[in-house]
Amino acid sequence: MNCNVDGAEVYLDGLRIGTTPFSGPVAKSKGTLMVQKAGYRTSNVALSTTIEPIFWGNIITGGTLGSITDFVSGAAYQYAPASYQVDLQPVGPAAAGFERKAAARKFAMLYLDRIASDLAAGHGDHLGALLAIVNGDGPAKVDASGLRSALHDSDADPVRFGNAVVAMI
Amino acid sequence: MTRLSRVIVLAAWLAPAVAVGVETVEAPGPAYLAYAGPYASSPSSAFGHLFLVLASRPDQPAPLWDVVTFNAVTFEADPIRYLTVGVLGGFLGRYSRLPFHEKAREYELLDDRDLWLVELRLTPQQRARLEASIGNTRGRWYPYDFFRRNCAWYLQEVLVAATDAVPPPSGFVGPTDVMRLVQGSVLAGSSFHRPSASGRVRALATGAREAVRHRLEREDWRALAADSAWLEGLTGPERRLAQAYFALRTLETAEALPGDTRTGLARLRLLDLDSPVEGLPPVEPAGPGIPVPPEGFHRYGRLQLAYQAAPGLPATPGRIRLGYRPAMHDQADPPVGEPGASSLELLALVVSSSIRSPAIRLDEATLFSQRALGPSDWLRSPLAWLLEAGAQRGGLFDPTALHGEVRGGLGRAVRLPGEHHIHALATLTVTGAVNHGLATAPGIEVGLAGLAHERWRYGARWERQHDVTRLSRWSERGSAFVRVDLGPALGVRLRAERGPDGDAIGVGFDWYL
Repeated sequence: MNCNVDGAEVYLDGLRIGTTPFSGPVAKSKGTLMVQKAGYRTSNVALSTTIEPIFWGNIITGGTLGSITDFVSGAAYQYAPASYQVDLQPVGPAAAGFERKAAARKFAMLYLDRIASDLAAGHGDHLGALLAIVNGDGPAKVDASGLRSALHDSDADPVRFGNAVVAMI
Repeated sequence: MTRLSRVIVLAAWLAPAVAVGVETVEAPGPAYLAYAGPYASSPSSAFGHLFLVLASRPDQPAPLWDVVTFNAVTFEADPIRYLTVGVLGGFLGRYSRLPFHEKAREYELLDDRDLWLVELRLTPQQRARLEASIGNTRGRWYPYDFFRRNCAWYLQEVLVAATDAVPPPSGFVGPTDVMRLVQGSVLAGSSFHRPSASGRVRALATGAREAVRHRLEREDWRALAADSAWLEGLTGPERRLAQAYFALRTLETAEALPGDTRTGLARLRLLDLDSPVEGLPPVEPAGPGIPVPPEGFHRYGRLQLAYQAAPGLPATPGRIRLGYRPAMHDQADPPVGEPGASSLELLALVVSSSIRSPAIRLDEATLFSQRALGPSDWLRSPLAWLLEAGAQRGGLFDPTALHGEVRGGLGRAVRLPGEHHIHALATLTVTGAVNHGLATAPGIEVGLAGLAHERWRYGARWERQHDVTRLSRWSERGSAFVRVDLGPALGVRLRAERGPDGDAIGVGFDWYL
């Protein structure tokens, strides 16, 4: 489990299992992960052992939301098998810009293949969308060449690329 | 109803509507009505799902478009409650708005479903009324049931608020009903198709060398993704295929990927970046999809009328068979994009009568039947399965008596070249007949489903089961059919059967009501 904050405490069904970034065995059963750190809103994450569709049991009728949902901020997701990203929202003035940063990281990590293809071609909808999220409504500070460098420098690793994108905001 | 549901019902009564004034939307981007094909893993999605896709500006990147959708919230109801409350009503639903990239990813990759979009040609005033109508739903909860007050009903309601080109919903409303209404109205613009992840992989595979396809199909994908020399030798289109295929296969994986596989996947992303642009495949647009002619979505209800004769028994009078299926689909009439092998039916009846001495007899009754034998299985899930409950004439106890059955099966489905799928399942049936008691019968089922030239559908199925709890009886049943579509609402079917009560051949019509 990666987190935007190092050292946040991770609890599985109330039992402390480590701190972020956390890597370790977790029992293959449904449970709730809680990630917390002073100065940040606590994030509760519903875990499932699979992202295969659940016969008869979708939580939201009409389609699943995937195997992991953060019912506090929505900034938790699975980006690879057994690999999760949780973004904790700061409390108070430090929260400014959190949503855009979390959205940029999520988009960068989930659509890394498409973004890389767009960057190679020099254009594309996913590249355009990431630039729009990163630059927001203000003047464009980041362009495709900046993202291209970030992709190379991160060796196209989703976590490192996500961190690099957030650092540009 | 759970305590939480009661709270929500109360909140639904108390929640004030958020009134949003009608303002002209300045230079809005395009708007689409989108249909996600049926989803075999959720009965509530057996009809597919309907939602709106709205761009707020003409230059807004497609992934950031908005999706407006209506969903029921079921709070992990157990299967029995999910079905009964879903059918009878009792769940509540709400409109929600979320980014198009999330919804497209959920449908195309996680659910492996096809999407169709039809452009909505709305005037600025109509678009403003649509936005106002959607805004008015904020904070409100609505009654939900599978067949009437569903996603299609509520999407039609916001369209009605925006334009008089679509009539208000009434009676049973399904997603394709609303798609057909819009396609036949002045609102309809261009139509588009977005293939499911497995459909995209199949399309990309046509541009790859045979040796590359062979390795992808036969070898462990983790090892292949870690083979840097093999990755370096791929052409641009083959790299795109490998990426799409690996993305699909990661969904089956619960364990963390090995380090060399992760490194290989990262290397694959950088290979495009290091290649000359002229060697790369064209960039794939994120939306709305591939331009296609408007689809001929048919209705869900189907009436079958057929004449059936017993070959070899000239003295046996022919029978007229009448079948009615109020909803869902079977092998012969999958909605667009749904594999011919999979099916989902609820509450279907078949009756017949001898033409010489008319007397109506119940031949088949389906309470529930789901057969997950689809072609995406060759990529994603190695298991095919079925679950059925109903009654049919002839069985272990008596060749002519009506037998009630609950039947489950597990096995494999394999996609063959062309649109052909074969399956083989081990089955277990609990069967009973009046005055005979119950028996448990393991068995096997094998079958074939095929589609040719878009409108010729054919299939065959053979099943055999043995009674292990009573005297050692066995029962065998086989059938084959060919059906040609005469249009979206009519088909002609030729069918041959071999059952406990003898052989029969028949010809008749399928009519979608």
